Formats: sequence, structure tokens, C-alpha cells
Amino acid sequence: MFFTSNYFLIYLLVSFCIYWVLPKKALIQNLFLVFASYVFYCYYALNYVLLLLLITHFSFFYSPLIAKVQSETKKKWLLAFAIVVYLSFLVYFKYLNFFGGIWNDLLALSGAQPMYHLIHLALPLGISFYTLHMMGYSIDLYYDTVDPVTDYPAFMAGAVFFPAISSGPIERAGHIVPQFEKPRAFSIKLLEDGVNQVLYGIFKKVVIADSIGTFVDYVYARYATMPASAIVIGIVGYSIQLYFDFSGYSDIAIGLGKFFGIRLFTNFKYPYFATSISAVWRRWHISLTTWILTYIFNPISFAYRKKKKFGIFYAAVIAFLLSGLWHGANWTFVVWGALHGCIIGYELITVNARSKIAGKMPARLYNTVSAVLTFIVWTLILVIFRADTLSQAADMYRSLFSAGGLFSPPGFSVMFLILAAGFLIIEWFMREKEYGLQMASFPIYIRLAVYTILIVCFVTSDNFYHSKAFLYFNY
Amino acid sequence: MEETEIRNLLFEIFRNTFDYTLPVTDDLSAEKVEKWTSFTHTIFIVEIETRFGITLSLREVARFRNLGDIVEAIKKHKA
Repeated sequence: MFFTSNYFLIYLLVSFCIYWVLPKKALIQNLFLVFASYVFYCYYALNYVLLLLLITHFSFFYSPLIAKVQSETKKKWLLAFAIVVYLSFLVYFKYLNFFGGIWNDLLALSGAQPMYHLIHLALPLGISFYTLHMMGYSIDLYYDTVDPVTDYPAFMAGAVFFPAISSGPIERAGHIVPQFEKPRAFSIKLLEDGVNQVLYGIFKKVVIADSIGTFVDYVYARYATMPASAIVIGIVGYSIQLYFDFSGYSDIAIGLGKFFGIRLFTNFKYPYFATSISAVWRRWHISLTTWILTYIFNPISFAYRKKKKFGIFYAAVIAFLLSGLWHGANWTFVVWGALHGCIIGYELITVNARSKIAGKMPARLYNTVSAVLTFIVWTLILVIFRADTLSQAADMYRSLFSAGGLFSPPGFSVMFLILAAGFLIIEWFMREKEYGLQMASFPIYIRLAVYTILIVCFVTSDNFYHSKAFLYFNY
Repeated sequence: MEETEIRNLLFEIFRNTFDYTLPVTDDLSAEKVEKWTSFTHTIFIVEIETRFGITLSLREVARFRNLGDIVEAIKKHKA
């Protein structure tokens, strides 16, 4: 995991020092950040730096044309062209083999020979994230919700900002560019908050997520021979691992942004306390969910609004199916996403009936039961997300009803689950804060003690120097 | 239709759609109202169109930031 590599730490220290020594002018700060971000990208993904240059420059120079024309028809065609360009890159690098495989399957059904030959393509670092960022800018110009950006260094600094380039948060031009258009003044409070958030993120990832990931990987790799008890440990473990892994990454990215005076999009707001699947999605990978809702769900639900709740149901299924597909070129992601769309549609249609049930129970009881049921449903559906194939997911569901005694996968220790539960409890009490361990209001000695404990824990962890890649680097 | 009438009717639709009992103001936005989500927003828009007898465009709806923006949009349609 490169955020804990020595090279990255040296790079971060040097970039940070130079940035704050430079004159406090937006132009100079932005030019430096663009340079530093391209150094970062070239180190980790030199082969694809031209692609990043191409997509960001296309967006900057082409998108304003959409806002400039007055004719609604011309606007639509210009936007359509932009979307085709963005999606072409994404489809080529991410989905070519998937759609090629579907084409071969269709040919096989008709008795024809396969025509598409799989090609080996690596996924360019961050393409799923920065493409959506750029596409969102073009669509915002179509809707007139932002003005065309004329400040080239500010736009580019926001587009390639290294803390977020690899796995988000997925930014919006209206949120990130104004921050880069103004000079940033050094703030010791913001820096400390950033350091705090980064340390918390590394702890979540290295100590909790990676430890749980060891036995989760074991169970998923050997699911066919696992008894029900191991399957349960594996799927609950994955639910916890995914949260601590991805929210940990987001905390690191957002914390690093604060080092440079930039506030990135909040990406998680304690999703496992949500009392419905709709509510989970308002708190999980928020930058992606809001992107999907703004640019896919809203237009579809608006077009079908005369169908009322059934139009919204349809829009939710399409939007979340595409959200699933965004995660990867596999039917597992498509089915996972579509299921979430169906559940959200169900929740919408039954909102009045469920409110009546809620009114008959004490609020705390209803919320607790709802949160537990939501976690169970979310965890069960995650089996499909994590599985390599739909048949593997089906086999794992069947195995839940199999016999077999208690089995403890290698690497499993109840201690990790207790640790994870402990941090979820801490996050419950801190749920009004931006992130689970935001301690700005705590006395200095408590903050220092907590920082020390966090650092000692992850530096002495077996995972620190052999940390697994962030799960969302795969998407 | 006068602006006051528009505002009163819109606020009534808002309270009924989202079961909202707190004071309603022009600067009220979705971030401040728990039940006002993307999923329920479309239901709200349909109710507005029906009660006011207007048809809003997607571009207009995309630009709504708060209830005040909706009041202004309705005024343009009723002018």
C-alpha cells in the first residue's frame, strides 16, 4: 500500500515543505501541485500519464463549448459527444473483455465461432475516478449548475490532485475548483486535523482491515470445503474489512488533502448505523453515490416521474445496476448493483407502511432492529460483490445452510472482530464528527496519547510493511 | 398568482411530502431535511407540477438549491 511506503513518505515530506515555502499565490501553489501530482502519477503509473493528460485537457478545453452554445439541440449533441469520449476510454480499458465475452457467448448461442479474442489490458490508475470527475464537469455545464472554469492551473490541480487521483473521493468542479482558485494559507489546526485523520485511516486499514482480510481471503478461496460457521465468519468479516479498508483509504486521502489546505469530499458517514439500505447509500462512498444519483438516477426518475413510485423504482434499478458495473467488469457487480436498486425501490414503495410500523414501536427499538436488519441484508448481498462468479456466490449462500462443526479459518482471531466492534462503538459516540477519531476538542494530552497508540499499533503490526493494496484500487 | 400564494402552497406541499413540522423558510435545502433525498425529491417535484399546473424542465430542477429557488421557478411559470 503506497501510502505507507518509504518513497511516498519522502515524497510527501518534500512536497509539503516546498508547497508551504512557496509564495502564497494561488497560481504558484497550483502549478506546484500539478507538477507534484504528475510526479506521483508517473512514479506509480507512467504508462498511463498521457491518458490522464488527454482526458483532463479534453474536459478543460472542450466542455465550455457546451455552456457557450444557446441552442438546446446543439448543447445535447456536444454533451453526448463528450460522454462518448469519456466512456470510450473507460470501456476500452475496463470493459472491452467483458463485452467481448458477452458477444462471444451470444455467437455461441447461435452456433457461430467466437469472434472476440481476449486482450490483456491493465487498468490505468484512477481512471474510474477521474473520468467521472471530468464527465461530471461536462454535465454540470450542460445543466448550467457551474460556470466554465477559465483558471487552467486551478482546474488541473483539482483534476489530478494526488491524494485523490488513485481512488477518489470523486470530486465535483463546483466543490474543488473554487478552493484552488484562492491562495491557501497555512493552518496548524487543519494540518493537525489532517495528520489525525491520516493516522486513523492507516490504523483502520493496516491494523483492522488487513488483519480481517487474511481469513476472509482464506474462506473465499476455499469456500467449497468450508462449513457454515466459516462462511459466516468470512462474509461478516468481509463486510467489516471493506468498510475499514475503504473508509480508511478515504480518511488518508482526505487527511492528506488537508496537509495542503484542501478539503476533499466527505466519503463516509458511519454507514453501518443506517436503518435502511437507502440510508446506507447516503453514507457509503458518498462521492460515487451522489454522482450516480445526480447524473443517472435524477434524469431517469424525472423522465419517468408520471409513473410516480414505479418510475423511481425503475430509475433506482438502472442507476444502481450501472453503479455496480462501475465497480468492475463482472456479472457479480451488475447483479449486486441491481439488487440494491430493487431494495431501494422496495423501500420507497413501502415507506408509508414502514412508517406505520415504526409509529407502533419505541423509536430506539425500531431503529436498533432496523439497523441490525440493514447490516445483515447489506452483508449478505456483499457476498455477490466479493465472489469471483455468480455460481460461487450461490454456492456460498447454499453453504450457509450446510452442516459441519465450528471451524476457525487460519488468521482468524476473535480479537480482530472485537477490535473492529470497539472502533464501531467509538464511531457511534463520535458520529456527529467529520470522522470517527476527530479529536480537535479533546485535551492535548489525550490527543497525543491516542496518536502514540495508533502509531505504535500500526508500526508494530505484521501488516505495516506488507500491507495489502486498497480494495478500491481494483475499481 | 402572487408570490405569497406560491410560497404558502409550496410550503404546504413540502410539509405534507416530507412530514416536516419545523419552520419552513426559503433557504431550507435537502441537506437540512432528513427525508428530502434524491429518491423523494422526484415525488416532491411531481406534486409541485400537479398542484401548480406547470411543467418543469430537468435543467430547472437540476439548479434547485433550496426552496427559494423553487419559488422563483414557479413564479416564472405563473407569470
